[in-house]
Amino acid sequence: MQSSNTNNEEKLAAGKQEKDLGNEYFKKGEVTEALRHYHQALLHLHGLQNNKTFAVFRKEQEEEPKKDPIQEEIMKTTSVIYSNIAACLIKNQKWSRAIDSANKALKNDPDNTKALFRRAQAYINEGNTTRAREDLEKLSAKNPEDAAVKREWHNLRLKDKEQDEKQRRDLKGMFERKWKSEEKEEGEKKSENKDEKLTSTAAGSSKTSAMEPRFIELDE
Amino acid sequence: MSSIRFKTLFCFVKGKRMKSPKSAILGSKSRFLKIFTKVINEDPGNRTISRRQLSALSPTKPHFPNVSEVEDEGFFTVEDLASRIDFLICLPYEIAAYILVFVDFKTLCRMSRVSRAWYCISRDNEIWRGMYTLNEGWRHNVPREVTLTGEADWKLMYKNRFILSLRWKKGECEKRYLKGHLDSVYCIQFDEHKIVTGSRDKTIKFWDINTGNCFQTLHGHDLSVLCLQYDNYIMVSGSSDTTIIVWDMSNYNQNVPQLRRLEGHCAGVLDICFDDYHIVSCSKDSTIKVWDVQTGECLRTLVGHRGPVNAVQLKDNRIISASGDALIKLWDLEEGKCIRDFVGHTRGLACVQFDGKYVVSGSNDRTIKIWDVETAQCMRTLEGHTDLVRTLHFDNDKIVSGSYDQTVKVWDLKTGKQLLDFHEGHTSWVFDVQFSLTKIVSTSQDQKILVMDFADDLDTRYII
Amino acid sequence: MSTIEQKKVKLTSSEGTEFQVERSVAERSVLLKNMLEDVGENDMAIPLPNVTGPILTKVIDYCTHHRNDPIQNHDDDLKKTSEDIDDWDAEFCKVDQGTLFELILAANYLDIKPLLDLTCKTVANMIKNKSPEEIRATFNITNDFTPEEEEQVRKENEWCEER
Repeated sequence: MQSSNTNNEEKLAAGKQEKDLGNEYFKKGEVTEALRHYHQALLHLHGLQNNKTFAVFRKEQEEEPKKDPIQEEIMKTTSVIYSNIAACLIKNQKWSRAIDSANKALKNDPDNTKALFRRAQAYINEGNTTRAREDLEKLSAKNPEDAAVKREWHNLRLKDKEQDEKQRRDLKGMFERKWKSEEKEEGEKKSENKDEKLTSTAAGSSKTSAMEPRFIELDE
Repeated sequence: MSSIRFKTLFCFVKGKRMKSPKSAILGSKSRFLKIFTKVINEDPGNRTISRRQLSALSPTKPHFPNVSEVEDEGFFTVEDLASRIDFLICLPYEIAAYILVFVDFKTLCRMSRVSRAWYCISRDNEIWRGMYTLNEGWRHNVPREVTLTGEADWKLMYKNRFILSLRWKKGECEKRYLKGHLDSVYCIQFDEHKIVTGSRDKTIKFWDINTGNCFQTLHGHDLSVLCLQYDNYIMVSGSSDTTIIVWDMSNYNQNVPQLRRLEGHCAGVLDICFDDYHIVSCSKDSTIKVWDVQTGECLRTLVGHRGPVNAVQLKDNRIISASGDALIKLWDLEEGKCIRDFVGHTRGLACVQFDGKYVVSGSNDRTIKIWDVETAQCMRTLEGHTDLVRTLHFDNDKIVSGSYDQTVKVWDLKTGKQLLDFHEGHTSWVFDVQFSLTKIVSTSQDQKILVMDFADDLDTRYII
Repeated sequence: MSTIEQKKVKLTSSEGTEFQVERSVAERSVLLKNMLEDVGENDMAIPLPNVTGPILTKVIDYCTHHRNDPIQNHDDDLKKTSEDIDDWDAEFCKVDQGTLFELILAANYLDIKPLLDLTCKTVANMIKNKSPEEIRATFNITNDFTPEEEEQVRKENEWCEER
């Protein structure tokens, strides 16, 4: 695989181009076309990430870990692309795919707040309120005043309520069914007439064989 | 010609340092081939190059010193050489690290000796963390924050844990004696900080486990202290004086005051056991008594044994007792009734331990037996001691026993095989033994406490 | 499997060679699967600029052979072994090192986890049970330690050789 740096630059340029096209389509509302271009962008950029080797190696050599600017851009751009894919998928209501994309975005750039936000949105819609809460808390820590984040907190509360209601309904149904089946059992038992002989628990057959005097005369 | 700098595949070596990573990473295969072929195109028909020719071309030290002697005069084809790649340099770090997930720890260590780049990658902390955590039976208590910051050195932890296992296997340990009691030492319990012992000299002593210094001597019993147990809050001790004392452990470094004294037995209290709710004691008077741990009130007395009850254990409201009448009994604590008997030993029992599932007992018949608590079946009998088995302690893997034959033995719990035999530690009967991941501590009629430390000079900070 | 002809998907390698594969084969690659799922099929070829023709051929070969395999779940908690390579896969990996590493990169690029596992296991097996000298010979690595460093590293690791 040719991965010399000039090649990487070309691919980065191609990837960015596709990404921009995708952005345009997204703004117009054409989600599928946007997705097409985002995926095309990924085809150029995926697999090029390689940010660690030198940092590690150079540390051993006691040099300042030099950052490769092209690599950094590749990772950032890839992250944005995944994050945008997540946005598209949320529009299409494909929650688990959106979460998957958001995860990939965060893997490439852990500071991508938009990706975190989108993941939170997807979690809420999917019903995973615990994870959504974790993500929202991270977001609030970074941007306490952000209106969008506040909206999502509201959505989370709504979802929580919805889930509580459902749980209550389910349990109620469950108990009703249980009582009904217990009544049925009781009726059946009474109609039976069995004598249950209690078998005596066999006491350990007493071994009256020589009891050892405890070898401890020592405890005097 | 001299302007052609000879490149080893993907590795530039100039002096000691890697040149620029750019050229190091991926002189791609085809670029290398171009140069190589250019060199040997001096003789177009020849697609091979000898090692000597190669060495002659290199400006630094010979590039293939690692070929075995047999190939010393060997020839290499272009394809062959071009095809051997130092993958660590040409794959992204993450993928190279993924390959390492599939190797064992020995290979990882050998890899670090290959070259500097290989040294780096084979030290990857995450890989060693995986190695450690996937090792069966190895536990750790590294707090989550430390894991996230990468502060814990997992390779070092692995190494220390490995060496510890090896020492247990070989029986290699540092031996230390704690002296101070004036008579036989009957009972002991220890933790990471302290050892607590009870003796025929009527005292209970506290010892610093690191320095061996005795920092507390408690008087309270009128006769020998036969048994004790403690936790963070209280200590309970039983004595030949027929009483049980509950002590306050909350401030044990300063003082250990008596909380209450439990009276009721008519003969020496041979063993005790307690949990959050109850104290259970057994006595030479053949009875077992259940006491409320808060109030000290005697709740019930369990009668059934026909001889002194020498040992008792408590777990989840079930009591196991072992007696001179050669029986082990399982009792329900609430009802005070005997549920079943364990029949098998041919002589009186001296010690027993119960973890909820298995019962392990030691007897005057010189054997150790392992029982299933639900079926009361004896699953295995361990022979090896040449006198009464006086004390034992077990965990998930092994049993450690002490005997009147003056030895301490270590057995494999699953196979019953005798693993270690310490016969030079004591000069008289062994009365009590306890062990942890890193130590075995035993006490004896010879008045000494023996600490056998397998982790001497190892950093076992997070290893549990 | 349905008797209806599976729709074909067109893939183009970095040099422009076109390949036609059935959709179920292409979907062994998660990268392609996601794309096809999100965007749908059409007659345009999907360009794969990060993999060359010869390697793509091999990858398609693998995916075709394994097209009916069940999708594996993440089992990160299990101890990984490299002993479980079946015969076909072993034969598949009998290639020169250059090709093997390109296969690893391609599997990573196209996100085909079973192929990534297979190729990485193969490399792992090439490293296992070898002394450092043998490893160097296998991969043609230069020993860039000074004699003192080499001795130091050896001492650091001698604990693993004890039994």
